[in-house]
Amino acid sequence: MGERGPAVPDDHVTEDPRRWVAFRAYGLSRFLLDVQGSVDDALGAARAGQLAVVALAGRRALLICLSIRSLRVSGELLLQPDLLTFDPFRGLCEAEVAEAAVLMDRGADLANDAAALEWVRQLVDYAGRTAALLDDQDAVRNIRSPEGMFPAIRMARTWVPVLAEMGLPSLFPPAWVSSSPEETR
Amino acid sequence: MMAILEERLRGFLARFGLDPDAVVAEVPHVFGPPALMVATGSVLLGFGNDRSDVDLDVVVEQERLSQLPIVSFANRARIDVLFYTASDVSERCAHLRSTQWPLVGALSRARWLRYYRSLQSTVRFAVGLALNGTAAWLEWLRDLQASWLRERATAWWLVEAHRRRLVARWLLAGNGRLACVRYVDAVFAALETRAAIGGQIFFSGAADKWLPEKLRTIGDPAAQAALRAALMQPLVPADVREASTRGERLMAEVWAGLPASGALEAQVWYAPGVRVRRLGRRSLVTRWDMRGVEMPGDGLPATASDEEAPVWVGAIDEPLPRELERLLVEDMLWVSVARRSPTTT
Repeated sequence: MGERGPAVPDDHVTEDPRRWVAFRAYGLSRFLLDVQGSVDDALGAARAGQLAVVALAGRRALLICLSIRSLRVSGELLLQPDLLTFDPFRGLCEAEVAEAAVLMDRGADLANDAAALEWVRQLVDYAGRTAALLDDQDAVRNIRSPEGMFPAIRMARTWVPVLAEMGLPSLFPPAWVSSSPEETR
Repeated sequence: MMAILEERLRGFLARFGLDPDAVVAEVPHVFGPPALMVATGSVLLGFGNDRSDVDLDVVVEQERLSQLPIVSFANRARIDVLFYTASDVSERCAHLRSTQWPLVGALSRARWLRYYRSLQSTVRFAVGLALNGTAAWLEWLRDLQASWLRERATAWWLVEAHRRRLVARWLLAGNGRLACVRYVDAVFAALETRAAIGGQIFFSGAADKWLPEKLRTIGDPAAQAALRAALMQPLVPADVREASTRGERLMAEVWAGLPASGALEAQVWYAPGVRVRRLGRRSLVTRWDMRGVEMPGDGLPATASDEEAPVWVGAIDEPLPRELERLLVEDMLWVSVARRSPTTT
């Protein structure tokens, strides 16, 4: 993705619309459906003194944040538990990986509840900066709140038709769309 | 046991001024009257914290419906209601009962997912508390307490640990950083095997997050120490080879005393979205037509022509052929682990 001027303020030129759509659509979906939940899990665990759960939930949140950043460059679209060659670092520069790595390593060695709460604060900050890259107000709305389904509905309305038109895979977990156990997406 | 589950549920709901009857009342009857309603999830397991929700899994006599969770916020308590068709629940349970794991024969991603989802949803019912249901469905629920389901969960995690370690080994030369992540994931799966043997068979929606609490509950300090050692593995190790050796050693420690899985084989399939195109004597392998690898030769099997046949099958300790290793590193392949057929030489 590159930007060229002179042009209208806030316009954006992309040389690869499929990649741009992948980043915006899958990035938003991952943030709303995966990152927010894992950050929330880390917060709940920190308050309850479940330090290893903080580390595990934080690890998941950080790896998915990296994968969202990677979508800008060359990251894979499908992220599911069975896809073991999925690479959350794909295309990222060393500095971008290192920032998350330092945070993750610190999260694995939390001394006490206070340290866990402080660490979760840093995790929330990192996740927030990842959301900001998506340039979408819905990314910062809490999907686990009473108003939370509205961003998800907007996401579906905006991106599902575009992805289908481009021949890209669906955004949502298969079980949300069909009760059939044979569905393979 | 039911009394403990009820106590946990009541204790959690009381903080919001609710009781189980109020939760039952939150379930919409848009799909008809429930045949079975089960409260499940971390609160029932005793792991819940102040950010937890209550999951309500509801069976209805419908032919087809979406499994999009319906969320309610009674008195600010988050309640996730998940509907299942009666036929799906019965079919998944029957599939689990009749299918030994590891599977013998071709294990495509579709078959793997069918088993995984069957296990995941059946276990959710098994560890929960029935809030109401018909006599037949309550009897079905009681059957899930028998040892067969625990055996299925144990076998599944054991094979999954093998699968993750195999992929870690195969990635090591081409993508050491990702290999190290998969070694840690393999240790988690081996630890889940120990948790399942101890009766902790719940699959959380977000992979592995309750593993520390499961190990604490079964009272396995060696497993807890192994988990801590796995978590301490740096995300970007200074020396990838050394990190992989540590991963192998940790796997061996965690696996000590676990049941044998029998002779296993590795199967390699194309990943979803992969397409192979012939370009004269070369092949272009793409995923979603967004990324591609141009390979010399035209020996790669075509995609989509026969999804029942893997691209490659070998013993679990066999190295991957070089051209396939290249595709694996580029995230173009999917790997399964099955039981080696007695007729395989």
